[in-house]
Amino acid sequence: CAMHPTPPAQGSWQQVNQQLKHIQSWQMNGQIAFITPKIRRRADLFWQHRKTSDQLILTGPFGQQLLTAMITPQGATIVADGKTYRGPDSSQLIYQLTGWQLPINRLPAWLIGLPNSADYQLNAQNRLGKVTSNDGWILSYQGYMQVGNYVLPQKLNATSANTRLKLIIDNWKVTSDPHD
Amino acid sequence: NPASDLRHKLEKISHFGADFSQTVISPEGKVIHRGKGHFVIAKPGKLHWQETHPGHDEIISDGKTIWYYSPMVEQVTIYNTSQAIVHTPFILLTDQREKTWKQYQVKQHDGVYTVSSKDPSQLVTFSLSFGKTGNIREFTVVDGQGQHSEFKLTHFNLHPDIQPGIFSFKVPKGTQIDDQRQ
Repeated sequence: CAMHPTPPAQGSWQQVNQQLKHIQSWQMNGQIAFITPKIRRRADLFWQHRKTSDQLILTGPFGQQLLTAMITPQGATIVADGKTYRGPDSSQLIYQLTGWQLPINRLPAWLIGLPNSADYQLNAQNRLGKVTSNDGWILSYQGYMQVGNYVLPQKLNATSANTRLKLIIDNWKVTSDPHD
Repeated sequence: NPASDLRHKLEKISHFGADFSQTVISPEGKVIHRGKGHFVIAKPGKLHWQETHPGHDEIISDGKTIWYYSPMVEQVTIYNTSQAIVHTPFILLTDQREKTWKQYQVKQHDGVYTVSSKDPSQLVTFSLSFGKTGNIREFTVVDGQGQHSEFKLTHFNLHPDIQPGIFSFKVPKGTQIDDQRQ
């Protein structure tokens, strides 16, 4: 799919950062790909992020559910192949079940363009370009898109020791702080 | 009975093409995916399914083998059609064999035919409705979790242009092959 040129910068990184931090909850429809030495898998991805919960639904080509995850402070519930699994750490559960490395608790910040790490570089439009996390993930932002008065990531890659994640976001819905 | 009605309607359609717009609805009723594409079907078991938006997956079958090609991961996964019928009732549209249809039960309720496997472990159900001219108007796949995938069909064409080779898959250079055939 065509690369979206990054819309013009609207302010310094501090302003962008501040604006993004006001985002309370969001919902996105997109696509995710996992590429490891052993497994390659692509799925349609629905992600609903709220202050105290994350819901993910991964869907196959005919619309069948491949995996769902509901994460709250109490823990994670994963449903895959019709079986339900519970545990404190969603990423670990998903890795055990599928072999996919998915940093679920880190991604909500990364997906909207917040580094959540001291080690990052900006692109020419004062948007996040690259991030290196302290637990071995390297992200590179490939494109952004306009969403109301936000500019949010549209395509990013995240690589770790043996996993390459490709994320494409087709649709964003954002609700920011009411007193924003 | 509904099963013979449905098979009779499908027998009249030897091959067809259509554009689809897909809406996937989570068990809680949220729209979690919208997609578009087109497909051509021919008997027995032949399928050329191409998603055009937002992804570009392809599902191709010559009736014996199924290729599921995903450009985003540069991989093609290969199955035998016998492995696939279990989770792609869609192939039923092209398979008139008695031994295939015997595995399914069909109900009909105001014009909508619902097909489900007699094997209780297969929870996927598949329903379809027809237009006045015998064309398939819409079909829905419901998986074991209650997730609905609705396909609305347009430009239904009983005489699609079937170029040679569209029901077999030429593996592009550099594509990973994931052969799942047993």
